[in-house]
Amino acid sequence: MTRTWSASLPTLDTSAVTWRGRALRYLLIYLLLLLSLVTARYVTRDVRPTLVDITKREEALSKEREVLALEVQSLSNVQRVRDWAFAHGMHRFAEATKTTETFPAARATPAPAVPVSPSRTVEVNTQWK
Amino acid sequence: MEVKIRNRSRVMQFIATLLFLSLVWAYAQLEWGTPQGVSRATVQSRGSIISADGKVLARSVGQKRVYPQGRLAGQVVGMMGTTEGLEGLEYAFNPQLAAGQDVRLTLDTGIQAAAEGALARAVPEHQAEYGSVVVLDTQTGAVLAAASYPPFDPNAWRSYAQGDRRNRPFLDVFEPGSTIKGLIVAAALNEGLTTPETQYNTPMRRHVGGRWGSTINDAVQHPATLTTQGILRYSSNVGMSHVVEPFAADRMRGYLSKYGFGAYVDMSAVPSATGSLQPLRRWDELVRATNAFGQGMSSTVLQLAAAYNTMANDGTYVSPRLIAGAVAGERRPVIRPDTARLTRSMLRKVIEEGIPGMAGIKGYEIAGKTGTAQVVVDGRYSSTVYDSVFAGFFPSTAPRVTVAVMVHGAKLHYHGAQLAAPIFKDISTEVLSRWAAAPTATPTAP
Repeated sequence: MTRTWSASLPTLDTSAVTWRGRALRYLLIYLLLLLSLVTARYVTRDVRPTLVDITKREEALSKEREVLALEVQSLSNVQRVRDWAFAHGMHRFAEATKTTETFPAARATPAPAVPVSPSRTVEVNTQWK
Repeated sequence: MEVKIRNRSRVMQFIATLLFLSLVWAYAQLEWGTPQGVSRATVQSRGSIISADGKVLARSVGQKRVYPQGRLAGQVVGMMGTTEGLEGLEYAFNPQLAAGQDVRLTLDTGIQAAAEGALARAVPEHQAEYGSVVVLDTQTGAVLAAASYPPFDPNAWRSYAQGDRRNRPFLDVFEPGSTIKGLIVAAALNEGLTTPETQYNTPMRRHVGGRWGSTINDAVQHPATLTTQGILRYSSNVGMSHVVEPFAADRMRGYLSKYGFGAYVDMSAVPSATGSLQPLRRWDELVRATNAFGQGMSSTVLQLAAAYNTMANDGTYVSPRLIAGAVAGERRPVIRPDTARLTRSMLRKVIEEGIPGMAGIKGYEIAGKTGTAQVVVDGRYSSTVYDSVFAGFFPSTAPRVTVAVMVHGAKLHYHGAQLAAPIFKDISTEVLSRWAAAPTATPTAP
């Protein structure tokens, strides 16, 4: 069987010049893209080391945070604090001797022109142990 | 023909671009890589165990599991092996913790430390083997403290004996002894079988159960006639045998059951023991009498605390819970509120008239009951090994906290009033001090 081509179809340009031109264009595009890639890499050359440094720093800080959080938890151990307080003379409120004290009645003062909340000063001396 | 070639040419152009882009992507991967180290480590971290007041009881740092609070609640938290939880909550909640979820407890580390401190002072001083304490929030049933002695530090779990790792208040069963009397009297009052003023003949010993029965003895010298209040005051076994005489066995056993004895405590995933109640078919006159003073049945400290909490909570049983945010456990009415209040006032008098110095705190209304239970050794009640027990709550008029204490095998001053009651007092003092609760009684002027 033979294949016949219609006369109305455009002729196929398979000449070496056409292929050479096409190959040259593709090569140029490739080189252009390559150049842009290398340029981008050059411009961003500091990004990677910085990113690595930051990652390491973040890792170190995370570890430090965990260790410090742990240290805080250990140092604020309730048993430890309680033992320290007892060793330094803490008396528990429920065991402390309690006394009653009658506050002296406030002296009669002339009524102020503008109603204000009554001011009374109470002095409290707190003595540890 | 040329159209086809042109199309092919475009396809080639597209493929070439794709190839170039893949080259760019591969180059970028080689050059920069993705910083994944930190995020990966964070995602895989095991969940923490945290107390109600925000203290971290267990957490992972890198690949290591650490317990920053050391011995505090060590037996409750348990420990983790190389890859998974081995005991305690580390074991019970292993799937959740392994998935990175935190487990939040109802424990208050301040009260937990007070409970452990009280045990650590008293148990060695009385040459006892071990002890345990449970503190419950009255209204919610939240476990505020679950302490065991000897202590256990999960950070160095391999250096501890198996017994030291045991979460005793949830797992050890013992005969609760005379502490049961308060609960039985409440049940009898609720049934209308007695009143606080009802009088009974109370010799120091009495035979119960006919031909196959046994002789019941009282330990504390008391008058020959006692009221129900006096029976609690002198902890008279003989008196209790009289109080329960009109009690139908099924009714009395039903009350003990509703108090939570002989059944698992409804706490999701948290392991606990049931203790035991004798089956109803075995309930004869002797079993009824001995159960009335806490023999022939067994309980955990957790169950005893929950039972006493029923009285503190106006007669409603609230299932204890250890995990914050967990589904609330069972609530059920056991005795009427007025009966609960009446029993609370009777138990307050037990302390005020009987052992004010041992369990009472000046200016505060404390209610409770002691127990000194003989321990069964080789099938017989030992005359040398005792469990010292106390259960109570405060303030007695409107309780906020219920406490149960048990110390096993003390060689010196093993009576409940001498050992368990002072531990209760120590813990109560700490809790009241933390609340800065004002005394109810008027202090004397200087």
